[in-house]
Amino acid sequence: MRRATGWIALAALAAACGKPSQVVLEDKGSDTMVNLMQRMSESYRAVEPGVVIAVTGGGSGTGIKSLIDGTTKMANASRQMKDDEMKAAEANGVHPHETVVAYDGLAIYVHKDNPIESLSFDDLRCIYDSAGTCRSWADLGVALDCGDIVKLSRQNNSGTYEYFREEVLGKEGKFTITMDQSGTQQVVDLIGTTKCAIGYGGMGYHSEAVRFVCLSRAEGEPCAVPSVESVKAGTYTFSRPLFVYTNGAPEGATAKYLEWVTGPAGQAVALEAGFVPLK
Amino acid sequence: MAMAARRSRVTTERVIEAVIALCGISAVIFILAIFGFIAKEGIGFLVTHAAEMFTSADWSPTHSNPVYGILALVVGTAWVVGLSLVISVPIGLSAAIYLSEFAPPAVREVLKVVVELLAAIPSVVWGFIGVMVINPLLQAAGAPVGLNGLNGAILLALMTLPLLVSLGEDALRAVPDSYRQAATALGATRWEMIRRVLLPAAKPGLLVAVLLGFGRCVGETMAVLMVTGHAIQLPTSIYDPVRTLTATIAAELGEAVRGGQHYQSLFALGLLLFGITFVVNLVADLAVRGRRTSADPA
Repeated sequence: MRRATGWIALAALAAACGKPSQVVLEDKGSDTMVNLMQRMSESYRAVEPGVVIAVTGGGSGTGIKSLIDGTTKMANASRQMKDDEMKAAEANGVHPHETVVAYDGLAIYVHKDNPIESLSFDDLRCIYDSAGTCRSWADLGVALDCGDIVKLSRQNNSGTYEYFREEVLGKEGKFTITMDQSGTQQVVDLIGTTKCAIGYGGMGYHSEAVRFVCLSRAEGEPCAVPSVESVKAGTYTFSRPLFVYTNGAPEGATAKYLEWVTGPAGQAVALEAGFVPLK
Repeated sequence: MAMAARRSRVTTERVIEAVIALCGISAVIFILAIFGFIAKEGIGFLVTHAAEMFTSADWSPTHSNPVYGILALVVGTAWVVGLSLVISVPIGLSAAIYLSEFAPPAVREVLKVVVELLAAIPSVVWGFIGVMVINPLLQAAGAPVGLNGLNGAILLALMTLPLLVSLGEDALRAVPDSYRQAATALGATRWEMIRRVLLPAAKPGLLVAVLLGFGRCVGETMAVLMVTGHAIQLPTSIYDPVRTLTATIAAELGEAVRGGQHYQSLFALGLLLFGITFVVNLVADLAVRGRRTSADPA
């Protein structure tokens, strides 16, 4: 009640000054980062009640496109901006500025009943590359009573998709036929109900119905399971920075928010959400 | 004074008439504007890439060597729509026959309301049902993955049923009672009367119902986006995941850089969809006209 009165007083004061009582900052992009940035914005309400961060997903490409079009203040991206996006931005008078807000381990998920111990990048190529030959789990030495491997991927507006493609298949690499889901949550949900499935996504999406695969960059190298510790220690190398892009160096309310995000309070939120903090 | 008042009344009337006329033709203006907008963005691409589009099943628009083959998407759409009509047409038309010929009036009224309620369910809610209910059912039936073409077809069938039932029932009831009486007087059984007299007489109307159902299926986006599994391939089994034209546009338009090739290619897909539904609606319209002139009782 007292708070409500405070709000009214604040609103009246703001109205008297001819200024809006709330600052709304749009924050759009990566689906991997939606939950993270949503939590950040909720926690930030307590710090700065007058600032509302409106977080929406859609994919890294979607967020970057909105930044270029000038329809969002901040663009979340789980990959770096591409050259042609940079060019398009500059042509539109937008000068993208990059802030790293957390790190994310990219996990390989399988169904919880899948007995596979470990996979190497070669195995992933065998499964996911258009020239790959792995069709069933038996091809990977695993006895699993189901048909072909159900290969899950993300849609091509996803930063996770681009990162996976470049890291695993190479810049010119091409995916084989996959089922393309529009969010990591959908990938993990589908794996949870599909015994034969494999998929990739941020490690924060782990659930009881799925498990992580121990991953190695090359055959014979020791494999690692994604966790905050293993990413921090550098033993799990399949990880990437998560970016927030702004038009020019952030100013005003945006700068204050991003300072908070990259500061200790924001990084504690990141850790809680299953991401790897900056320090 | 009186003259001035009359003149102002005439002016008012003219203004109102003009406004109403504008409202009347607004639909035409909107259609033309929408078509113009889509055509402007997509037609150039459609012309320059036609050969590649219609001969390749490889859709990789974001690759460094992009390929814009839409064969798999067109086949995916046709696959899901075809399967759904195989399910919905027999059920829908049978239901229409029951409602129009057999159901007691009280039952008919209740059933009609319930069937039309099906149409009130938003497509995203259908999508949920596909993911949460049909998905595990199909897996229990032996599908390796529950999000596939059949799942989409079942959902589309459920979504088109109300249309088929309502329009089908209207078409059957539009057949004059004198036809029924004449057939019965000639000693036809009820089944013979329906098969030999009613269905042929109502054919154009039933065809319209099926065609509009088809158009509804082709254009449906959200539900198929959620349940068809999104795999760009030419399906060989009803359990194969597929991808439709509409789902591709919905999933990718957000990413495509405005004015770029990928962006234009999606508008070309839109143009193609627009063309398909336009032709279907035109045929349906002509069929209605056919019914009006041929089925007029003398």
